[in-house]
Amino acid sequence: MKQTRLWTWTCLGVFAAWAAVASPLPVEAQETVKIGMILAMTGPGAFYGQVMSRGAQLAVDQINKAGGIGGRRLQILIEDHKSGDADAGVTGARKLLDVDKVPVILTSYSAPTLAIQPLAVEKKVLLLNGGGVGSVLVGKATLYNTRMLSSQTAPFVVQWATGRVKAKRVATLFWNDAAGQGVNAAIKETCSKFGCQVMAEEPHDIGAKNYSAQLARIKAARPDALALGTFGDDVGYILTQARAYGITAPILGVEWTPNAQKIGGKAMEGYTIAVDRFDPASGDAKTKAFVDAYKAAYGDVPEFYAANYYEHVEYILRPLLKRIVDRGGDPAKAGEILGEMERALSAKFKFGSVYGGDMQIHPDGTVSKPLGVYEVKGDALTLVGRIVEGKIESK
Amino acid sequence: MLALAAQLAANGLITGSLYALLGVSWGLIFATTRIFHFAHALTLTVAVYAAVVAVDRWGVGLPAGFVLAAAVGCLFGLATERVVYRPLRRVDATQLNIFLASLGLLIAGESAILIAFGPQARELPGFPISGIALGPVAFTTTEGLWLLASWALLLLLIGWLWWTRYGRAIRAVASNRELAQCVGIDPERISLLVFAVGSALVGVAGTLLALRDTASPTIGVQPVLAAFIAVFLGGIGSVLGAVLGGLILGLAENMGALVLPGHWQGVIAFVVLFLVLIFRPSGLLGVRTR
Repeated sequence: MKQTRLWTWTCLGVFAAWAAVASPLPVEAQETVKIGMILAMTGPGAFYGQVMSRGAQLAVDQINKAGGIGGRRLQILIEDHKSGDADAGVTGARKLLDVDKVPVILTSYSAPTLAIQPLAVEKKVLLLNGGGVGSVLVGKATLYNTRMLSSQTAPFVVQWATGRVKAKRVATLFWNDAAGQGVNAAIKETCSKFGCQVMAEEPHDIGAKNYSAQLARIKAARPDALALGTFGDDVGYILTQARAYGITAPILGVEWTPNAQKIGGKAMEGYTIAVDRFDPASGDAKTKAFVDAYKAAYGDVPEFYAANYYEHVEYILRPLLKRIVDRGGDPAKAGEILGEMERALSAKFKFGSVYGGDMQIHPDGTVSKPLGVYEVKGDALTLVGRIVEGKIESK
Repeated sequence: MLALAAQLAANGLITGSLYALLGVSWGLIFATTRIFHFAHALTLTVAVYAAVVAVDRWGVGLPAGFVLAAAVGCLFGLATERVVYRPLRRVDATQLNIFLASLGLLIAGESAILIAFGPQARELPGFPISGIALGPVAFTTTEGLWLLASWALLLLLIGWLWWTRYGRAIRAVASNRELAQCVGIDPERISLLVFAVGSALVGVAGTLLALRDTASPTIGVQPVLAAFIAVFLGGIGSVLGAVLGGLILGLAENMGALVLPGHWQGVIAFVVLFLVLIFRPSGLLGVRTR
C-alpha cells in the first residue's frame, strides 16, 4: 500500500515537472494586450455593435499584422449590453474586469457607459466611448468620449432653427434615455436663450418603429420646427411617418446614418443636422486609407461609428501602448494605460483624425473636432454651415 | 383637441385592426391546442424574411411576396407542430415544458436569422408610401393597406370558421376536445390545420408590418405580445373576442396619448389587460367557467 502511494506521488511529481518545463504558456498568451468592448451586439441597436466592433477589429488586425506594438499583440474581447441595458453592461464589464483583466474598455451608449464607469475607476481601467452622447458623460473619471456630446451639438440645432428657420415654436422627439434626454435638455436650455419655446416634448423608446401617437401630439402643437434627439435607424422611421402624417415643419437633429437615409428615402430631404461628421468620400489621406482598408476587409463603406472605434485603437491606444512598451512598462497591467492617457492629456492630446483635420481630447472627457451643419439633399449630406467659435457661419 | 382625438382614434383603429389579425392568428392555435405558442413570433419573422428575400433579392412582385410569406409561415408553423410540439406531447410534457421549448425555439431561431442576415433592418420594397389626408385625420398608404387587408382576411376567416366543415370542426375542438373526438373529429389533424392557418395569417400580418417597420431579427416579438394581450382581453376561444380585444388594445394605446405622452402606449396596453382580467377574468367575450 505504502509503495503504491509512493509511486503515485512520484509519477505526479514527474508529470508536474514535465508540464512546467515542456509546456510553458504560449508566447502569444503572455504577450497579448486585451482590449475589452461593451457594445450593442443584440437588440435594436445590433447594427452599431457590428460596425463598432468591425472598426476596432480592423485596427487590431492591422497592428497585429505589422508585428504588434513592441512585439505585443492585441486581442479584442466583446461583451453585449443588449442595446443600452445598463445591467447587461455591468455584467459584461465585470466579466472583462474580473475574469479577462482588461486594462481598457471601449464602450457605447450613455446608460451602460455611466453604469460601468465606477467599476472602471475601481480597477483603474481606461474607458473610451465613441457612441454615447449624453451630456452626463462629461467630467467622469477614467472616461473619455471621442464623439461630440449632445450638450455640444444640440445648441447649434436651436441656433439653426431660430436663425435660419425663424422658429418660435419648437417640438422635440427624443430617445427616452440619457442621450435623448440630454439633447432635449440642451435644446430647452438653448431655446430659452434664443427666444423660442418648446411646445411639445415627446420621448420614445429606443428602436421604436411606430411614432403615430407622438407625432399626432406634435402635429397638434403646431411647431415651426421639430428637433430630434434620436439616433440611428429611428431617424429614418420618424421622418417617413412625420411627412406622411402631414408634418411639414423643418426637422432638425444631431445624427444621420446611411441606413436611416435608406429607410427614410425621399422623406429625408431637407433634414438638417449639427454634427461632427465623418465623410468617407473626403479627400483626406487618413480617411481614404481607413475607408479603403475597411472596404477591403468587410466589403462595405464605413460610417462614423466604425471610424470612432477604429480611431480608439489606431490613434489613441496605439501611441499610448507604444509609450508604455518603450519605457519598459507592461500595458496589460491595471492602471498603466490609464496613467499614460492622463499624461498624454496633460500635454494636450491632439492627433490627426480619420475625420480629416485634428481631434483633441480634453481632460474633462470631451473632444473637439470640426463641427458643421449639414442638410440632406438628394440622398447625401451637404454642408450648409460651418461652426466656428460657437457660431454658425454660412458655407 | 378634437383634431388630435380624431387622429388618435384613426391611429387606434388602424393599429387595432392589425392587432386583431395577429390576435386571431395566435388565438386560433391556442384555443384549439392549448399550446402557448411563443414561437409564433419566429414564424412571423421567418415569413417576413422569406418575403424580403423574394421581393428585394429575387425581384418578385410584392403580391407574390405576400403569397410566399403565407406559404412559408404555414410550412414553418406545421414543422414546429410536427417536430417540436407533437414529440413533446407524446412524452406527456407539461404545458410549461412546451412553453419553454417554444421560447427556446424563438431565441435560437432569432439568433440564427441574426447570423444569416445580419442585424441591419431590411426594407421590403415595392409599395409606394405616401400620406393620405381625410379632414383632420392623416395616415400612410401602408396603414391604409393594413386596414383593408386585415379586415378582408378577418372576414374571410370568420366566414370559413362558421360556414365550412373544417371551420366547424376547429370550433368544436376549441370548445371541447373530448366531445369533438366522440363525434369523429381527429384533434391531431385539427391541430395541424390550425397551425397551418394561424401561421399563414401571421406570415401575412408580419409582411404588412414589415412594409412600415422593415424586417429585423426581432420583428416578431412585439406584435405577438400584442396578439397575446388581444386574445386574453377578448376571451380565450373566441375569434370575435380576439378581434374585439385587438381593436380595444389599439384604441386604448392610442387614445391614451390624449392625456399621456406617446411613449406610455406599452404601459396602457398592460393596464387595460390588468383591468379586464380583474373585473372579467375570462375576457370580454370568453366563456365563464366555474
